[in-house]
Amino acid sequence: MPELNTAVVMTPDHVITPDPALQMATYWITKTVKKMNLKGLQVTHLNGDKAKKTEVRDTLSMVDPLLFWGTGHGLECLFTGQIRGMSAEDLSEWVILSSVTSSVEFGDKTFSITANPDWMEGRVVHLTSCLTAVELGVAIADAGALAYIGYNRLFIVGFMEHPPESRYTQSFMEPDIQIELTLLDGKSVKDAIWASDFRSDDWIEYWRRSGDPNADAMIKGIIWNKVSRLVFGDETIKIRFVPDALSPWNVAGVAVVGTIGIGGVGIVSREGGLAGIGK
Amino acid sequence: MTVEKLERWFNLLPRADRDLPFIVVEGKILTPREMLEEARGGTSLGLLAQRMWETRSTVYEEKLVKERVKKWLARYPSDKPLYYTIGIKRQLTPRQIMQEVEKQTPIGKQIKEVEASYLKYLEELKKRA
Repeated sequence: MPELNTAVVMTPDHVITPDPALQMATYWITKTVKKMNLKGLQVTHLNGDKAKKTEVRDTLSMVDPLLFWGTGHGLECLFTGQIRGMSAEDLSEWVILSSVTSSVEFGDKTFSITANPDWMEGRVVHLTSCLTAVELGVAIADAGALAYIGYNRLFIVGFMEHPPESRYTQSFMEPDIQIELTLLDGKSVKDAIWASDFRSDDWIEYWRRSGDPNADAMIKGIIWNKVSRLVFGDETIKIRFVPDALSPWNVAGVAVVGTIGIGGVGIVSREGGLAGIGK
Repeated sequence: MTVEKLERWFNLLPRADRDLPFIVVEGKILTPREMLEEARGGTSLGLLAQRMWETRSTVYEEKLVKERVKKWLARYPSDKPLYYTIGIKRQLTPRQIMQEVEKQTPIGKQIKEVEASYLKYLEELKKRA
């Protein structure tokens, strides 16, 4: 049973095979992980070469986190981690989540993938990736995830040659990481999406007023990501107990935080903020 | 609606958008700057453009959207990455974006949808003018 206040975050860094897009996303997510730790969330961070399938499987099994947040290249039916080589084994380790069981041709190699959306059962899942909301996100929600957040188009992370720490990358990534920052404050998934949209609007306004010659391209990119962001599952779910953020029904620290239609799953927070999930 | 309001709206636009196609008036594509100049000159085209701007519907013509995308991308080197994405298609160059639009691929259609959303955003700035 996944525990409140726990998260597994996965960030391939692709240092050996340079991949600017993932390095940009990883830079901003890693900064956010530090904030999550400072605020008392128990985060297991699978960075770089740890962003591989068996490591994710074993960590999920050991930590059983309520939140899984990962970045990696995505397609409609799959989500990937660190690519370490081109052997069939390396490629199998590369695909972290899939909604299909299939044999895949990649260049001159063939490798197999196995459908595993059930790995996300009982969790809040956020994939900072392209396209996974088209199929994989639906499969994850159908397999019993409390909520899935992802994108149904390409996710734009960078502009021209600007580095990860630039305002260009920041304005694409901040609306995405705002989801975790909001969940961290004990707010619901729905609140997190609103906050993310507001952050997008803030950046749109920033670029409009900036006088930057690329302002139009930046605003279009931010709009692109904003309209591509989708949620499946229960939007009332929260990942942690923060007394200030709780609604009036949470009197005396004992409360039903939310329930979900998928498979009758429910979350119950226990006294004193040490909450767990009951199914 | 006064010319002054049109001018205030013009000044709210990101600089690059002041000279990109914005509206089709009697078959002619006008930029915001051209609209403003026509309106200031009190020409029939200017008056018509001003009236259309005031009451404009949110459906944007294909011709206008494609022309905007083309002129926008022409500002950048055609084979250098414009956007980086976290997809298997890791980079999008202006040439690739234009090809997606021309071939009407799913990405091309999405680019046009976003351009139309962006036009709507620019149009709605008139509420602040």
